[in-house]
Amino acid sequence: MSSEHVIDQLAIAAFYQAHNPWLFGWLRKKIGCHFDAADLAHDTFLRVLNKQRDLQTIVEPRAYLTTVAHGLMVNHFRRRDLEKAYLAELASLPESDIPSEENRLMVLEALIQIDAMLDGLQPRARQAFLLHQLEGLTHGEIALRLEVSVSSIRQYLARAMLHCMAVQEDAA
Amino acid sequence: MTTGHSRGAMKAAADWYVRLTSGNASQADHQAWRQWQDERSENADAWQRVEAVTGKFGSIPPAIGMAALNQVAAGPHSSGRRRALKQLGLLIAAGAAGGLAYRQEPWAEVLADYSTGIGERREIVLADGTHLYLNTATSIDVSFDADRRSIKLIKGEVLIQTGHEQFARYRSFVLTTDHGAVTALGTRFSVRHFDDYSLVTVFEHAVEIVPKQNESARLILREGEAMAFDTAAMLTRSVADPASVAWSQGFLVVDQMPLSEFLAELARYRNGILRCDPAIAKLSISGSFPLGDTDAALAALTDIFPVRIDTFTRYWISVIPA
Repeated sequence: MSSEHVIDQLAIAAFYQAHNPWLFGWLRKKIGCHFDAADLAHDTFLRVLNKQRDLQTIVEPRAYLTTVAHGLMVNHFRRRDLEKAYLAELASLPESDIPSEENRLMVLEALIQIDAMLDGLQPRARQAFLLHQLEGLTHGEIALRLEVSVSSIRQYLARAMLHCMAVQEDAA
Repeated sequence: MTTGHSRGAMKAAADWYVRLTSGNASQADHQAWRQWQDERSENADAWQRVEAVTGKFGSIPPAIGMAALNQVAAGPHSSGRRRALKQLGLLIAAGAAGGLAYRQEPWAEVLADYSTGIGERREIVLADGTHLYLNTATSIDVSFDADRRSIKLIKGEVLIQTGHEQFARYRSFVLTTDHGAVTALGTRFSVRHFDDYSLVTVFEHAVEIVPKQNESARLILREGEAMAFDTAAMLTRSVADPASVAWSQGFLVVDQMPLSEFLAELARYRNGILRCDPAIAKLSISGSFPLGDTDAALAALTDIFPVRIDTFTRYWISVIPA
């Protein structure tokens, strides 16, 4: 083990010890759950350590850590709300139509991915895109539903598709 | 990485997606689409992306997916989130009870630390409109939440102009030091931390001071007053001196200050030792000295007084009789 490597380890340990206590406390106050807060604190450090080779270059660690943690927390809540919404919909189905646990997990994952992919897209383009891709409505039917012209719908769909393609590219 | 070609290809691919799903795409259209893909590899790659996007919808039962995604989208959309994260105001939860925790609330939360090096001064504006001026060698922690706005002065000196709360909910504004808490009952005040005491000066309205270990000694300090206090009691009251915060505008302003004291103040903005010979310590100095160039301030002394600047090293300077 090179001495540089050892120094890295020490710096990381020191950083974690200095900041984990307050970060965990802050997250727990916000989320209300001990375990989720610990997970999110952990993920925050992972993300920061992956991005920052040199912890010394972080000028304002508290501000930086809370910004990263906040982003992860928003995702966390978003996921949870999607799951609740999905389960609420399932609850209204007759017993026989409820999919297996494995299927439910797959669908939930897909929903989360789609929601993330559409993030930042303006509401009408999002709506038009979902009506097209999920419900399979034609351009004309969507135009009627949203009370706009067909050419507007075409623009929304192109914009939505471009947006999703860009997101895919960033993620890749 | 997107090049000009692949950007164009992406746009074209999106347009093809719309054309082919319009419900009235002809044979000729499909032919043209296939030719477009064959034209260059960027086109085929771009189309792959379209397929990747549409592929994500495959496994989802339409009605349920629609309902779930719409329910969640009912809150304010998160494109605002990225904007908000840029400034250090954070969007906070309505409360630990959960619910749509990422919904934007009218008051912003901040949890941050700020510090200045020796000789550095800094102005910070927080999300609620509070202006913080940090003087040299200062370190603070800021913690705003739904209930109160707190600043911890770890060392150094700050001038605070509290922002007005915009919304019905008023949060108290408290600055704490080792020695106690200063609650702003108004807007403009400064606090300087010394080893054994803290000094509060009120320029507008009032503050309440509570020593850390003696709450019954609390006191309301008003506009135009200054007070030193420690953990147990109030120490010395004096008149507020607006010149004492001229540093926030970049100047050290003094009026008939003993030279030794002046040099001690100037030294706060410099690295190293700045000594004053006892023989000239009591010379009285008045004036306005730019903090951006303390070397010039020292040089100016030789014009005003019969003194010499002895630079033993950059970091060991003595002011002695000429």
